[in-house]
Amino acid sequence: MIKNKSLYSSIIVIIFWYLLYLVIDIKVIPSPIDTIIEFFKLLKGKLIIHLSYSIFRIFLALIISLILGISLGIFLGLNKKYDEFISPIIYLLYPIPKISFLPVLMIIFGLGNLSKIILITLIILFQILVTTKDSIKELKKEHFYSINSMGANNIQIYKHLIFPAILPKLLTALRISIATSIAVLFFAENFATTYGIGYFIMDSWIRVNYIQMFSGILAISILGLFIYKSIDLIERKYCRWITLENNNEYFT
Amino acid sequence: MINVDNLKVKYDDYTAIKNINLNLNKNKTCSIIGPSGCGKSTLLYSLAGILKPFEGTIKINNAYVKSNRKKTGLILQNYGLFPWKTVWENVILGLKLRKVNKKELEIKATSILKKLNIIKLRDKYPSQLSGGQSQRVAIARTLTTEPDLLLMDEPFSSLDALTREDIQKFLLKIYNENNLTICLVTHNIEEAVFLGQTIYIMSKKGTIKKVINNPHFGDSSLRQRKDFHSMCNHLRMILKEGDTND
Ligand SMILES: Nc1ncnc2c1ncn2[C@@H]1O[C@H](COP(=O)(O)OP(=O)(O)O)[C@@H](O)[C@H]1O
Ligand SMILES: [Mg+2]
Repeated sequence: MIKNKSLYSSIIVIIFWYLLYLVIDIKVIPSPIDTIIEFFKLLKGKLIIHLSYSIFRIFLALIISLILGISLGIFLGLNKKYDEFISPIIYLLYPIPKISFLPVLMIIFGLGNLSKIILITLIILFQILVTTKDSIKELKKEHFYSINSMGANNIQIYKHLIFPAILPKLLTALRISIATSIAVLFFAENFATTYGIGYFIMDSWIRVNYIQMFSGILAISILGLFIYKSIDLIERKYCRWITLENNNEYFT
Repeated sequence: MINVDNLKVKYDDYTAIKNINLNLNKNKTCSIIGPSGCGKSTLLYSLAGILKPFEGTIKINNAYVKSNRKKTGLILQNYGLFPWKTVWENVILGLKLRKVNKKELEIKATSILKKLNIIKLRDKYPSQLSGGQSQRVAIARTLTTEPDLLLMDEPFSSLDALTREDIQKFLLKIYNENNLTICLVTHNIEEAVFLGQTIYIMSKKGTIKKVINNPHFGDSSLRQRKDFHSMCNHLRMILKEGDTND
């Protein structure tokens, strides 16, 4: 059923694309079929290299933000005293579009990978930090009493109480922040690099190679789709209780 | 079994309970009743070893209570079950935390679920259960670790009257079958009388105002008797006295 949904939506998009290609008879919109063929050809060669660079940047940023965001979020969620000092600072920085830091980051951390990774890390990190903290704060002290009274040690408290409690919101935060970070990465990869899917697309454009440009766009959508599907999978496996609770709300 | 001597418990600078003396013998029950905010939960959590005495001592079986005790089971009003675990996962949690091996865990938990008549709820999540079912599951979870002492914090206060009476009778049965000692916190007068062999009445100031013995305890058809209602009225009077004196 779910698989069919992806298939169905892909077909709709391709049909629309094809119609546009027929109606707007200029080179800017290449035929979807030609593009897909070109995509697979390119994938064996340079496209996979560009894509790998982008994936590397996103995943490294993702891992850093998960580690930092979750640990800091849990720490602040559990320690009211520190939270009172640090939260106002977080909320001040939270709404700033992080991409506006790009020039500063490039000056401080150089033009290479580092500044791009830090930029994306900033975007994801804030989302994760804030939602983790909120999830912890929603826990009642009775939850802790309950597991303490059963004699749980710290590791067990994390395993059975803290991690399951933060997971649903964490996944939502990831969905939101990964979409933003792909867009931002696309932008950032146009500066001072010759690798990355963002560079690949813009470079193809400059060379007026529209089929290649669309192959790049196709690649970036597949990357996004892959990440979303992975998040869905984790959600369905580990957060079934959340979907049930939401369903109950509709019925009652 | 429980000996509390001159207990005082504080939250930072705020004294929640003081001058508490409480003694409960093995295989007996007591209920603790008092107005909301008088420190009932504080007292119970201290017995559970979760909160530390500021002054005074708590002994269970002649050993000082310093942290959670293996054979003490705690049942809370609402937040005892974890919403992300199924009934089964919730019930085995206590055993899992004690690293009981899989086979033994399977046998123990299944037999308790059957005994409490909730085996068919096995794969449901707490959000899919009624209030009465949740409380049965909470009791089941505590029983898996074979406690000799049950501490309960207003376990039935979110249930409707009929379900509540049902599950109170059920608890009485469990008590008789398992040689338990029970300490129950409530703000419900009938519950205090129905389930407490001794009834501790707390004042708003966080002290124990009066202790009464309840000769009627143990009769599961007690509610139909006149004695029950006169006992309730007696208790109601004592509780009210506090309001005017404070
Ligand atoms: N964690 C806490 N920090 C500070 N004060 C608390 C805390 N928990 C309870 N109190 C206070 O201690 C008093 C007794 O609380 P509690 O034992 O929960 O009462 P009860 O269970 O009888 O309603 C109340 O005045 C309450 O506000
Ligand atoms: Mg209470």
